[in-house]
Amino acid sequence: MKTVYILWFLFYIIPVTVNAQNISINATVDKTTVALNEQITLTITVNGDVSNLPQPNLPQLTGFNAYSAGSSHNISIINGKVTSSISFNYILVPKSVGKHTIEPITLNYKNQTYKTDPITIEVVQASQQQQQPSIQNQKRTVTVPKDISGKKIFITLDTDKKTAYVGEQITLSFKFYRNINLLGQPQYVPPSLTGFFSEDLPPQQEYYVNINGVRYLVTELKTALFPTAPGKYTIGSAQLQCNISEFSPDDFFNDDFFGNFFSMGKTKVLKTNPFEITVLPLPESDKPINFSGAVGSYKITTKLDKMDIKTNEPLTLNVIISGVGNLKTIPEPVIPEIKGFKKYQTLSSLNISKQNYKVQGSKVFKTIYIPQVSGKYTIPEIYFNYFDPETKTYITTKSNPITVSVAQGTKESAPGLTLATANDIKLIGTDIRHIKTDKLNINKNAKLIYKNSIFIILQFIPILSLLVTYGYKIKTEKLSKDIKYARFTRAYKTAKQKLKNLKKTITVISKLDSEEATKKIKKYYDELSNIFIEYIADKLNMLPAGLTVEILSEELTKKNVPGEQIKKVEALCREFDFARFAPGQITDKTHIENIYNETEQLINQLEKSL
Amino acid sequence: MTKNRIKLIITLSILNIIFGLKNLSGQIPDIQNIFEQGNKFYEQGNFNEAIVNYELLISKGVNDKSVYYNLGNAYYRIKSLGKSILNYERAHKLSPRDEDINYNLNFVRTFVKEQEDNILYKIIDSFTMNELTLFVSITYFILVACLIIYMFYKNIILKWIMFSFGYLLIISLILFYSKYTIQEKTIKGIVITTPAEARTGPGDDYSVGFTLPEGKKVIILTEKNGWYAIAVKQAEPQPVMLKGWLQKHLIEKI
Repeated sequence: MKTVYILWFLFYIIPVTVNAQNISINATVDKTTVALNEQITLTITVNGDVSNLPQPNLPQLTGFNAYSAGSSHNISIINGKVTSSISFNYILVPKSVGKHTIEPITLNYKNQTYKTDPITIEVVQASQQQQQPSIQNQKRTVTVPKDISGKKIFITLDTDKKTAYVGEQITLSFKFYRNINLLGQPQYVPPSLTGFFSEDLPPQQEYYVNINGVRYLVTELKTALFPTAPGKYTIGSAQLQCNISEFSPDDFFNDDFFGNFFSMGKTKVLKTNPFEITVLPLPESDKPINFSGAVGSYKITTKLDKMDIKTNEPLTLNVIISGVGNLKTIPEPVIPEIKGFKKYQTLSSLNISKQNYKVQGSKVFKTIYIPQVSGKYTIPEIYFNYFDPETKTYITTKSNPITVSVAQGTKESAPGLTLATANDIKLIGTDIRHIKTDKLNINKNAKLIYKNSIFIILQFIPILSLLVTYGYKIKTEKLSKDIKYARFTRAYKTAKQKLKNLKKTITVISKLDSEEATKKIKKYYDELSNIFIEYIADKLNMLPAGLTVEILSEELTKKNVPGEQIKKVEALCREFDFARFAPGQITDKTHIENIYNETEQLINQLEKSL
Repeated sequence: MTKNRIKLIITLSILNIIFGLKNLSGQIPDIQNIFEQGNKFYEQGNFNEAIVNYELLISKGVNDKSVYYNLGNAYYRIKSLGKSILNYERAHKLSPRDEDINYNLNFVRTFVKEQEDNILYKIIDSFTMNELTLFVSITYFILVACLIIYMFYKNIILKWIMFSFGYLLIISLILFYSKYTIQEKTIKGIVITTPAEARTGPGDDYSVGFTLPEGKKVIILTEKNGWYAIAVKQAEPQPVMLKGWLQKHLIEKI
């Protein structure tokens, strides 16, 4: 699952990341003004912080013949950031005088196109000396077909040898002889070269030769061929299509200039005959076991960029293989691992020169080591073997071992990140987020609650309970209010009724003897006291039990009863108490009646004020 | 242990009765398998197969945000913008505060010009209908409980609590009602097929009033003879409400 996620990530994020990477391309020439027979070196440099830099596309170079002259690769790691640059060198040979523009060179990298600025080059006439093809070259060995007599224009195709080993250079030369004027640029169709690795050998040469007394202008094009496998191979026929005018340079002045001007000339197609080349396999005897496949003549050297180094600092080992042969196909020699050193990927750069029409140069293999532990180390000799076709032997060369001393570096430069500035998130591209892969919660309810009848019914519970409670409260309040009201209104009536009943006992008491009377009087006073207290209690909606004189006066004050009435109430209560606890002393009938009247009066008064 | 289980079963069955849950438990492994199969197809880049699986789940009555979200992703991958927005909208409706859903919905919405939502809408939009329903219900329950207690114990703190819940209830009711009108009363659809030409009446004989881009959200007003009357806001140059008729197959309801 995780890998899939990462894959997905790579798939969708990486193509956009290019935008954030810095790739730049620029092109330079060594000179902007050039004579017709000179050459310009065009250097295209691609810089970028990616390790695999793409190759730029060379535009159609009108006005020049372009030859590749190798490339060099440079890589540096600064604070863990990789910057690399590749320089591609091209040799441009101008074809005609005038202003020529090198169109912008484009580089396609992950859907992004990078461009250089166009370069204008002025091609001037060559100085007089050089303009005329040198006649000194006449002495060169010229192999000329025999049946050329009478031909004003012809081509030849030949090689320096017809038998070669695999990987050995064969020089193919194409020669174009003419002793008439050409109209326009001839069109050259190179021969088919299956089975060979070919490499142009600039510059194109022009010289005069004399064949059978006829002076020919010769244009010679050389190509280096490297056979790729043993066997018999055919070099196909080369073709040249040219427009010729019907007069030779000799009778130029006799010719009708205008007639010539308007004549379209004649198109002529020249062809060479195909021929065979025998490619020999490399001899099996004495073949080293780990033979690299290189053919030619080479030497190997190693070089370190510094001899003293601290741990965690980069050390560059350059292994240089230089010599004559097809350097492009030279494989990487075995570059050793060194204990205590961290080895990084090896990068190679190629430098090819084609001096004397021999492909030669050097190939540099750059390896970066980062020492981890201090101490003295030796980079061992590196072996390189090749087959020399000249001597027909296998030769093994080796480089000298190098010693390097590693000192303990500072702890700050310890491996890991060196933070110059705090890094923030870099937004590379935007896309939708990934799918959810968590378990489905199937029982999750997605229905609307408010449409659920049970939910709706539930909503009535609070309002109903509120109504019920409110009703209950009202009822109880009203009920308590009713009792109070009833007591309040009925108090006077009840008291009066009870007093009337009590009056009868007064007459009864007077008829009894003293002992019986005392008991009756006590009862009488109790009754009278109760009537009075109950009356007030009813009026005040209080319980009669436990009502003391103090509580009574306090409550009556609250009800705004006049002070004298309260005093009377207090006095009466004391009278009752006295009578209750000492009934024998109050036997006087008039006194009893007095108290009765007092009580009745006081009730009447209170009825008005309450 | 067993006691807890019995408790659980009882609670579940009560919930079942209350909310009328669809009992899919028998199909769970099957459904989970289809879902995982769909995810696998998606991760292999086989988006059409993934869509088939997710759509199958939906046809089986599965109403899950992850299914809609993944389906939206799959449609986006096959460049079916309308369907993608439609399914993200559905997922968003089920889970309005899901970060991933909102991110992707906003991402695909950038392809269609829509008017910016106002703040009230955004607040309403970040709650589901059920959440707002429960919010209203709970505030209402608490408020009533406070009222009942207050009848017997008059207390100043209780009074303040009561007032706060009273205000909360008003706010929640407003939110609920707004959500109800925006989401439940208003039927919305997404344009899934282009060219979507809105005509002035329900028929091909009527002239074309305006065209709609794929993925545009429209309000469906009525339906007539296989045509929908729609209302849509033109975002630029200035917001204008446009009305027209669209063939039914061009739109799908959210």
